[in-house]
Amino acid sequence: MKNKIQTAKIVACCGSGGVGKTTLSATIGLYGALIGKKTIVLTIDPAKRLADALGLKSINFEEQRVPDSCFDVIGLKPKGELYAMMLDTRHVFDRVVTAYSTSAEMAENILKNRYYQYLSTSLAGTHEYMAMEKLYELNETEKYDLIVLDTPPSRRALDFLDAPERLNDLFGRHFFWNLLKPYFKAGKLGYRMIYFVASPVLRSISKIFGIQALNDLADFFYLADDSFIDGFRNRSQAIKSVLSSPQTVFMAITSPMRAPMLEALYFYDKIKENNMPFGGFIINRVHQSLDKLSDADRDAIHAWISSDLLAKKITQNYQRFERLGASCHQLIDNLMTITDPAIHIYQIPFFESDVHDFAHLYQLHDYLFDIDF
Amino acid sequence: MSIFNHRLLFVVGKGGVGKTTISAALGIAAKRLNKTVLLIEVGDADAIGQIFDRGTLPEKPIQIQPDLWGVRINAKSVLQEYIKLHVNIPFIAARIVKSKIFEYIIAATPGLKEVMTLGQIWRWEQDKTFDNVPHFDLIIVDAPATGHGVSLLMLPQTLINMLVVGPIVEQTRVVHNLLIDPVKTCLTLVTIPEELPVNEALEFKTIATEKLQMPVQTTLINSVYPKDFSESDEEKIHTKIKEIAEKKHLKKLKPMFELAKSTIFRRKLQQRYVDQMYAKQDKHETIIELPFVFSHRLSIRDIEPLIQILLTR
Repeated sequence: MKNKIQTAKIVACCGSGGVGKTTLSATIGLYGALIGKKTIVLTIDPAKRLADALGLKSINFEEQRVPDSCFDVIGLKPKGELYAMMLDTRHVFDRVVTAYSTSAEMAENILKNRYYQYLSTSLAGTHEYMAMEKLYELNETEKYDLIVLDTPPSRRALDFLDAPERLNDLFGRHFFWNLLKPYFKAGKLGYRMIYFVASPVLRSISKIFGIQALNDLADFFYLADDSFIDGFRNRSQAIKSVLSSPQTVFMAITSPMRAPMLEALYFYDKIKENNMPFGGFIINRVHQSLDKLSDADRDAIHAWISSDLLAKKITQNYQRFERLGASCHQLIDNLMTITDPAIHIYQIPFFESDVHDFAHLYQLHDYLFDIDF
Repeated sequence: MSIFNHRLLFVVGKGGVGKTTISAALGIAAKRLNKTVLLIEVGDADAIGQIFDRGTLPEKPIQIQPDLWGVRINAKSVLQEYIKLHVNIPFIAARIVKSKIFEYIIAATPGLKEVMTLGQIWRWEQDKTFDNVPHFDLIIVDAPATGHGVSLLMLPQTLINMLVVGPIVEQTRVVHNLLIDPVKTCLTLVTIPEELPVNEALEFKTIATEKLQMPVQTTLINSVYPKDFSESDEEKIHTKIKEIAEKKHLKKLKPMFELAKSTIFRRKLQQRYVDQMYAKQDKHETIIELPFVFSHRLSIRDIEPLIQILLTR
């Protein structure tokens, strides 16, 4: 992976929840800083101890420099610099709105709109979109040589890839917009009501959903004028083109279990379909393959240990992990047979303790990069 | 009260803790107790299907095993059905369903997808056979990962606030009553003995009590290593490892002893997080520890030990 990180400007770590995306993003970021890149890790809700290790204060959503003194535990001085930042969707969204509003008043009205408040926090794909937005913004500033993105934990990786387009779609000129815009632009609330009553389709909809929902939605589109919506749409396309550039690398992170692996594969297919640069699979927490316990060894343990019960516990424990290791490797073999042999599959072993500090993060480099600084 | 005496189990938890595996294990255990079970998957996932070695579940209940049914809820199709039911004029209903505004409303109305999902669950709960007994004795919902799970259960408040009046609000009230009935509905939280999942589980418990008015009744701590080794075993193992280092002919036994040592270490680490869950146990909360499955394939055969433990509760 060494060459990939050398040349990359953006590394995005994707995968289902609980596979260790945040840890691996931090590991890749650490590597970037060590080899001399000014690196930032963009993360969402990291484990508290990991945040501590990276010098992140959980309440702060600004870019923060990881002090060089953090590198002391691994006995190395970074040739570059390491920064970290936590994402807050609402915060990013508010800034985008402010940026695209044509007046301060417009921005304020949009921020107060109920539909917007819902949209910015709860709508499917919003978190994914905002992660992309922040990524783009950072990339445009050219302040960093490498941006490592820890993507939001979507059950479907698709949400994340399609996020820009989905939001784009929402702001697009569809039926609703075309049909209703003149009325909303012209009218006060009363006129709108009349319009709803006059159209049988809208009348039925408002009966079921309630007029308030339609009004909030209408208000939002009324507030958001053409230049605002165009700004959003242009931005979405720009994001997509940054993501497709050869300096971007997508990594699929998974654990050696069936469900997250299928997610990773699904993601890999999506990346290929979208012609985006795929950097490989990282399989985290792989239990090692153990040599089969021979009858001779078993007898030797029994002969050597006075307690037969303890000997039995030891061999039983070994056999359990032998089975576990075998199941992991069978799953990995399956993955290898169904993917292109040119695709890299990195394996990170299962560690006894949680990987949460610099020393542990550094330890992972052995499995991702061939070390020489 | 046994977990299987409820009508509805809502299985929630952080991604990767084994919600789907446990939902399946609960389902199989319940059917062995002679119950007719419906396993529900929410959204476009196909995890339940995978466990039973079949493809994505359909949107109408299908029999997976005798007395065990499975189904997938797609909020959009439920809403389409709902519109057809509530709009008397068929051609208008058809126009609504096909219109872009319908897409917008689905995307933009807070809690709408959720109320449709919950409404559908409620209808299955109400479902009676021709001789007027419930069609399903137990309904198990494999809910989306914690964050989304919360928004699914939060909907009564959100939606009533947004929509104020209309048939959807009426439906929401009925569903809400089912959810907050502690006899009928059991919020079942899954976690594993690790830092992040335990923190998130404890946070979820607070949200469930304070915001959802449905306290967690059962917490399942998944993937707990067996506690095979006693403290004296541990000492002996340490002594033996030192001995192995000194004697060349014993070297081949090193992996077995090292593995025993690391299992003991890992088990102790887990215990810290297990203890944390017990320390914050609520008065009406049952905590069940489930063993680590020593296979990552997680087939039905692999999860048999989980089923056995659930059956004894």
